[in-house]
Amino acid sequence: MFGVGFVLALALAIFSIGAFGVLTRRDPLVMFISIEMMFNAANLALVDLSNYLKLVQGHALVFFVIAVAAAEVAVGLGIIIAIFRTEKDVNVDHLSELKG
Amino acid sequence: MSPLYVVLFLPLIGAVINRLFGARLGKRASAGLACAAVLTAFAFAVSAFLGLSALAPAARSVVTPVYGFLTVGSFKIGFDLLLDPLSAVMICVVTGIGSLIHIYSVAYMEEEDDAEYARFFAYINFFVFSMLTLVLAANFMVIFTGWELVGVSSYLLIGYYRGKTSAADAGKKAFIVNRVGDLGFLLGIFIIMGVFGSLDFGVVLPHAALLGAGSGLATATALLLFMGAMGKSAQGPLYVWLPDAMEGPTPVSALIHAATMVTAGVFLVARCHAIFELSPTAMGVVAWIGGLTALYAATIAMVQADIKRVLAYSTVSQLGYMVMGVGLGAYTAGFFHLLTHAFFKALLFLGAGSVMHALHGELDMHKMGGLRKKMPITHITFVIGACCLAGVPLTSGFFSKDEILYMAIAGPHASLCLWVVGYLGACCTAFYSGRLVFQIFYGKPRDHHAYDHAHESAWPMALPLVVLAVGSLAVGLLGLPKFASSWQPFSDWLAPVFADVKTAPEADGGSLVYWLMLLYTATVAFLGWLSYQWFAKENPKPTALAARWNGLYRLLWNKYYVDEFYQLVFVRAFLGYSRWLWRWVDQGIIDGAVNAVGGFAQHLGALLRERVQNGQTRQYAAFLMAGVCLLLGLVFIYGGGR
Amino acid sequence: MGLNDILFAIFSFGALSSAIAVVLTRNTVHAALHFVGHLLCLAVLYCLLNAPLLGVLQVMVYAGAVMVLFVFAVMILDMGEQEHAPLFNSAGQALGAGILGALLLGLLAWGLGRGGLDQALAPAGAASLPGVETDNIAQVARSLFREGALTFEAVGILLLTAVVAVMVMAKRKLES
Repeated sequence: MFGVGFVLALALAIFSIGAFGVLTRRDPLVMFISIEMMFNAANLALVDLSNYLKLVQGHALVFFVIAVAAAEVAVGLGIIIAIFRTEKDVNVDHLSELKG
Repeated sequence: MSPLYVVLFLPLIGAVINRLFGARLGKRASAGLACAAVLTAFAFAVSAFLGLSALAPAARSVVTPVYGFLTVGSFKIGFDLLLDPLSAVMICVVTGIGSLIHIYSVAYMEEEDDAEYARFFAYINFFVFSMLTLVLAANFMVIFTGWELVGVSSYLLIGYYRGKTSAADAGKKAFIVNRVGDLGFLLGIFIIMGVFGSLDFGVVLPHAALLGAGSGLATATALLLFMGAMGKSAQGPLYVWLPDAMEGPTPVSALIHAATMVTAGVFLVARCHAIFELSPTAMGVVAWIGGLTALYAATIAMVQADIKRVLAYSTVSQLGYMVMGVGLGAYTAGFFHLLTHAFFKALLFLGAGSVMHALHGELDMHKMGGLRKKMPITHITFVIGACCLAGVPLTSGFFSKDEILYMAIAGPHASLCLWVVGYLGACCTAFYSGRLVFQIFYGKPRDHHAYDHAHESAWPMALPLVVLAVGSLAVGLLGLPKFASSWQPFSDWLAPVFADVKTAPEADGGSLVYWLMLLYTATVAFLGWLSYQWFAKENPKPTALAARWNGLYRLLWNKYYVDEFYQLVFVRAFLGYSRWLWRWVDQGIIDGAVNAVGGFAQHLGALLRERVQNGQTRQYAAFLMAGVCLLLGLVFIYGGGR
Repeated sequence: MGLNDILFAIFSFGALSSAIAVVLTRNTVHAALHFVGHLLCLAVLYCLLNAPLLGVLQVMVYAGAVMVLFVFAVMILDMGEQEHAPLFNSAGQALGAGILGALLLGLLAWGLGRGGLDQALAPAGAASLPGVETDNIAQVARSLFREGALTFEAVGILLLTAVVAVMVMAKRKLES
């Protein structure tokens, strides 16, 4: 009863929730987690469609996404900790060094 | 190879070599090169002349193509040279008198240093080349090229003393005033191109009637061409550049402003007479402008004190006679006056240069006097020149001017009013000619210091004076009045060129010719005597007259305030207009628009930097998201294939 | 309704609710723990969608390694002080974000629901192919090491680079 459309809708919902989290939270870790959630939504959609289309390439793609996300998490968390060390503050509203 | 190649290009080669290497050649070599170039050109010009005279009269029109100038489909303009009686006379005059002036310059320019000396000879050689291009042209394209080259080289020569502001200004003035005339000339050429589809004289002139006899188109074409002629020949309103052009070295004045360049306008009218003949209106305008200029310039010449300025106005006046002559349909007479004038005015200018040289650059006639004992050769030759200018009987000027005035009464376009104008001009001419001679060479020295240092000039300056003096007298023999001689070499020679022109009725001249001659003789004699009384002796009369008629005197002294008038009406107005364009149109509208675009981008950028690029990560993310939404919306709304 | 469907419903609900919990929890540690739950639910869904390998990888890499990193980061940053601060900066910002998120959701859903999807996917077949479950791992491995060999190596280099980068960053901070 749960067809391809249902899982896609689920993925969309998770993606949107993640986007909402990125936009609202000022804690960089939670923003980061939200971004990971959006990754996972994309992965879910890929897995769902691979299953539907009988294509195993989607699984390989998800594999790569997971690997890239792991690398990204490592670097991203490293950056956040570096910022925290210099600024003693991790509220993204207070960080605006990149303004023009 | 045609001798014309040598005639035309030898002066150009001389000019190029002198300009490039003259400074290293030294004075002797660069002067020798320049003189040799022109003298050889003169020899070949004479040989070309003789070669032409060996042909049958009807065949005396030889076109020599040099190279194809412009070829567009079936339309061709070639750099062609035309040798016919008219241009044959002109090349002999240009190279002949040019040679004498070159020789004269060898001594006259002695005081310049090597580089400047070579520059002078380069320019003057280049001028001869330009003038030869002009007179040898076989189509309107080439004649216009020569016309412009002459303009450039006269600019260079007038502004030769480049350290002097007045010389530089005079050069610019000559160039700019000539541009006004050139515009008319160019428009005339456009009309000819449009009507005939060709610019060759050999095509256009025999079929000039295509313009329609008496039609507005013919009048417009003729008057536009005449506008060019007015610029070069310093006629009518465009005369103003010539008196100022006396800022150049005196040989330049002789070469450009007496013998050659200024005759270009007369030459043009004579060359294109087939077009002018179509329009009686245009002919009338030409004759009247010539006549009025002759009188007008002569009145100014009567009171000027600067010797070269008197000669300059005299040149304008004599050119007026030539233009009047061609305007009256008396082409042969006008052209004859051109020939005689080339001799005697070059003589007068070179004589004036000799006087200046002796007096270390003194130009004011009021400070001269009694020089006849110090400078015998200059004195005698100058007197001969002045006699020709005044029109003393049996001199060349007498025959040529008399012929023009006779044609004003008896010619095909006769007009008694014009004769009166011309006659008054001739009276003025006689008066100021006498004044020139008597004030410079007779009476007591007015400036003893200058007088004591005066000396006769060296032979390179004296020789051309003698040759020109002899020439001035002898050339008159070529055009004796018809009743006096059946030997008419000049008019016979030019007859093939003007074969299509109505000639003056011979019969009704009759006794009138004698009466007119008698009248001129009496006038010249009386005015000569008057000027002797006034200027050779200590006579208070001129001063008293000037005081009595102070207003008139000031008017003439200030040249009718024409320069001031032009300054006010054209220069000031144009400057004001330009300034307005600069301030409002260029800076206000054009620059304003550009600046507004830039300023808009700048302000928008500043605003965006303040409000949008504020370093807030989540705001960036929000923009990103909004952009994604926008794109998705667009894709779904417009991008759906189904 | 078979066992798979029941499991599917449960874990779908679990994934969705834990996602919402992540975004709405004030405490960072709680958020991280909710996220672990979310990842585990997704791993089960992967298995249900005939991707057991990915399910296992999800648990090992995400719920294991990545989450350990997150918890370490929380520990280092000491986020406890933010507990009493309001969840959102302002109601306007939350509303704007909500609208944007809803808009995104609506647009994507509408795009899918335009009917394009079913027709586009229809020719590929409606039912699961037999044998997919049996050697899913072999199939993925073949795909990874044949068609995606180059990508695989590139990802390896990427990971190595990330490791080096993080070490350099951490080392420099220690020196200062």
